[in-house]
Amino acid sequence: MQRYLASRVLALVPVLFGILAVVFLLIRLIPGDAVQLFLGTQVEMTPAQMIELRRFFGVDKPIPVQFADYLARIFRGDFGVSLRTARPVLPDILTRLPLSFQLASLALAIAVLIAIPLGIVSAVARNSTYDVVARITGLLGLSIPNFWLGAMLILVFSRFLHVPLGQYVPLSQNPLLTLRSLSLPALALGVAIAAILMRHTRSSLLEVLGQEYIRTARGKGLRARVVMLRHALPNAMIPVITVLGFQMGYLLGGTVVIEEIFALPGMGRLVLQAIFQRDYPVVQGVVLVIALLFVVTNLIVDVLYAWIDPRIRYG
Amino acid sequence: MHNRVAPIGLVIIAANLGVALLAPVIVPHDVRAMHPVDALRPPGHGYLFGTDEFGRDVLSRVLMGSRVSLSVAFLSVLTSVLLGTTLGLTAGFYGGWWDALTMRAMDIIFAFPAILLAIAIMAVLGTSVANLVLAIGIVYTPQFARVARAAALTVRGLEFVDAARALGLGNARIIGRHLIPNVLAPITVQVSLSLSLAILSESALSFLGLGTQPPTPSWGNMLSEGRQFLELAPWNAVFPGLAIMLVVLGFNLLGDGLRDLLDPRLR
Repeated sequence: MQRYLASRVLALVPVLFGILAVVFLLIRLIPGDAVQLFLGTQVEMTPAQMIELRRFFGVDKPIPVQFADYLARIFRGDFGVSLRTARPVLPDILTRLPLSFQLASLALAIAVLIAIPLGIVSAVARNSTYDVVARITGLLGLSIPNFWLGAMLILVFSRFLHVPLGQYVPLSQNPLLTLRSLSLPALALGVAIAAILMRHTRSSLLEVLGQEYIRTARGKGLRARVVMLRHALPNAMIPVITVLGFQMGYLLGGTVVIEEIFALPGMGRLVLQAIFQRDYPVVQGVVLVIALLFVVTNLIVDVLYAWIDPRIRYG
Repeated sequence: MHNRVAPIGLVIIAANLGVALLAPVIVPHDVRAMHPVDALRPPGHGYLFGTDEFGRDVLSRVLMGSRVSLSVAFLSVLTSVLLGTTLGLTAGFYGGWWDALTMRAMDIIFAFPAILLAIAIMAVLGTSVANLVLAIGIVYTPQFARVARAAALTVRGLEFVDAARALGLGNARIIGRHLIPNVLAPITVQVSLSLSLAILSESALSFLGLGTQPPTPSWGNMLSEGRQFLELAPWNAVFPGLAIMLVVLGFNLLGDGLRDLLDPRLR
């Protein structure tokens, strides 16, 4: 297991390097001069001042040197300074990280809670009316834009049910209020994942239920409940976990859109605000942090997968 | 179930394409014509889907919006298919350093959440339809590269490819005559599923103000404008969302049906 873990971590190095290169190059892709773009058309500068400013931003050196500087700064935890507030970028991102992370986690939890039971019932009652209805509902869930679902949830709860949505309260202050403020956004975000997980639970379980060891388990007189919980389900969940890993990207990226519609002060709103203010160091910082979170969660899923299924470790 | 619902998906898509093509002819009102007297009218009263805050007809805007959503989706998936299939086929066929290079590049794109990468690309390139197509196209390229590479690897080792080579066929001929026909099935399935994702991405980007810009109506920016009057005039947000859902459902139904037909593993 340790060797597997080490090889997985080692395989991440080129990917991390690539992520850093992409985030670094993002700013170089801006058409025209980034410094001029930041200044806008109102500010008049003398050529000498422009050179000074270029030196300040470090864009006067060759690109490879700039990249090396960038890497060195990132490894020191220096994500640069906001062009608007002049504050270091990283602390601002880190204060907003918990909200986005809690939102994504809660969405995942909601998706799993909806998907696994429905997928099991769908597989067991294959081709029944229930199965057909569940599968069509699943396809609908996959087709709803998450931000529209969010808007509809706000509409229903505030206009018709008169339930105030409540402001975000940090977990450390009152976990119940945190849960309350994040449950609707998490539902809007989690529905598509629930649909995907349900489909995979169903098809994976159907495959396992056709295996010989399930027939053996039934043949030796085990109760249906035991066959399902001890033999079928654990094996059926293995491929579902891989799917879960892929979906972490959807959840982390989706927080940007969902935070916007529910006016939640997370990393997503920070990055959108920064985009419209042309505050590129903040944009770079948030994109980097979310990509790193995605890579780390994928690693955790991979390791979990290998821990559950020894065939992966020794394969 | 799927083989019965795939035709439904096809009908939904065909109907939407028809509406998009005929939109300029069939819209009941000019999409940019403002009627301040009729602002925020509820559905009915000469406006089937109601009006927005400028008194513009929501139905007409939804119909015209399909043109932007569908054309951006088709063009961006076309970009992904051309780019991804070329990279994947050549990577799988030639192997070696080219394979390593292209697939690592694909891994890096995959290491970003799709919508976040599209947001970042739009943020630096600026909002235009061409950039929108490029951003969504890049984000969904790795899927096609992986599918094409896997197919190329399977076919590469088969005897008929050896036979073709023994007959003196060049690499280009082998790729064109023997590899491409064998990747068409998995690519077709992926195209249908990617179209649904591309429509969702376009509407999300436009919703955030990073995609199609007003006054050109697109389903995403209509939702963004309608959101400001959510309680007062919910129809402004409801109908564009329903339109997105319907088309995406159509592509998902079709993609599912095609997958069952062409790839029987997931049933």
